[in-house]
Amino acid sequence: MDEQRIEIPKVVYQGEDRKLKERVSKFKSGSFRIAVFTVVGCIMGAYSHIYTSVGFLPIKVILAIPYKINEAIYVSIIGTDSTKQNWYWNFTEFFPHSIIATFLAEVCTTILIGGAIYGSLAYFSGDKRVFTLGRYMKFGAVWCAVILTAVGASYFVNAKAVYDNENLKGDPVFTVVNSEGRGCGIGGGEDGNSVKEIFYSELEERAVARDFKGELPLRIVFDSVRYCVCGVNYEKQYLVTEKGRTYHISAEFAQIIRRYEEEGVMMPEGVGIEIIK
Amino acid sequence: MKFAAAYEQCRDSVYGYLTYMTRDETLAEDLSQEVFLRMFLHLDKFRGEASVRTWGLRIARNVFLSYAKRKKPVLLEEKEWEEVPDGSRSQPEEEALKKEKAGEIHRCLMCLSEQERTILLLRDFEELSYEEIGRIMGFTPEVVKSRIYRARQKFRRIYEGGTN
Repeated sequence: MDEQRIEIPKVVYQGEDRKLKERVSKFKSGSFRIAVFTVVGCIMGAYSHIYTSVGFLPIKVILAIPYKINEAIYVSIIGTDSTKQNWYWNFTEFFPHSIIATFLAEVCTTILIGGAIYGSLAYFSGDKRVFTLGRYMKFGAVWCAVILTAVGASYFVNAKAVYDNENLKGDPVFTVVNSEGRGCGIGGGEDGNSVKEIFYSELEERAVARDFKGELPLRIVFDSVRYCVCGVNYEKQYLVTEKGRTYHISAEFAQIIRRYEEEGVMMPEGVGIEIIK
Repeated sequence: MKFAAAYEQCRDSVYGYLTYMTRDETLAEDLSQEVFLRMFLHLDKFRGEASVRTWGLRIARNVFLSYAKRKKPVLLEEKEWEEVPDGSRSQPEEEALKKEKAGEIHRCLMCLSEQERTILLLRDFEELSYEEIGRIMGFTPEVVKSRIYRARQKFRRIYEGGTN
């Protein structure tokens, strides 16, 4: 084979190294700017719920954008429990059944959306040769994945909370809801523990013919983070969950509820009360 | 591997390859910037299986191909000798004479296909081994060997025909 080489003259770069490294330095400064904008965006997202109380219009708009996008995702596009309210609920949280899910949805996701929006603004203000649309697609895809993970996590946490509520799992605190925003409840401590023991003593899932008129709304908070409102019929000794699962309750617990309705206090023998106003 | 060290090892190779491929120093400088940016971004993925120069030239080829496909497909085509402009004629006579040979070689290279140009440059300009060229172009060393042979023959035919 022809092994004789062709003499191709050497080419040496005569310009400044700074010129060849220009895009690298632009990338470094642009990345720093994106990081700063992202952090600021996250802070904006964290405080975006106060946009209604801000008077200065530009700040109001900057704050409102992450909040409104978050609201659009949860309320308009997917839908939350608060958009499917029944007569028990009068809350505005995205996930009235779970404080953790609501925190993920209303705070964490808004922070991430703020970071993504203002990080993207910094991206597009960078050198067009370095921060190209093709590279932005990756940047945007990562943000979408992170935000969707947070959204998915909040729905998962809520679904788990609803499932646990339906099974009446956890450490409960009871409140008989007697009017909007007011109720009569039994909290923690020894008194609360006595009621819990009474509640769980004969609790058993059992099919019963419901008597809707005799059901009193009983709000139960499990483990301080999960909420549900059940119906209790002390005459027929049953409790019905939000999804219609019926449980037999002990006569003693039914007596507590009866006593509340007749005397206005929720106080079995030897058990103290806490009035929530 | 630090970027500064990688840059030092690749600067002239990358710039030279792109200069010969584009026949435009400004464009070669612009594409070299993109090559070094990509090297900077993917330096953590460089595992050292090949030399930094081979890696840099592979990126340079990809950058050139994507640029040529999008913006200047003519750079990928083989040209007729008459179609390639002779840059040395516009320069002062003395300088033109000095660069005459380089200019002729450059013109001949532009008459080869992109693959032939690349394979010749990698072997005879960059002085890479068959294995290294194979890594850059995705061929086995045997294929590289036979293609270099054919490219050299074609180059010589054009060179002799052009200068006569």
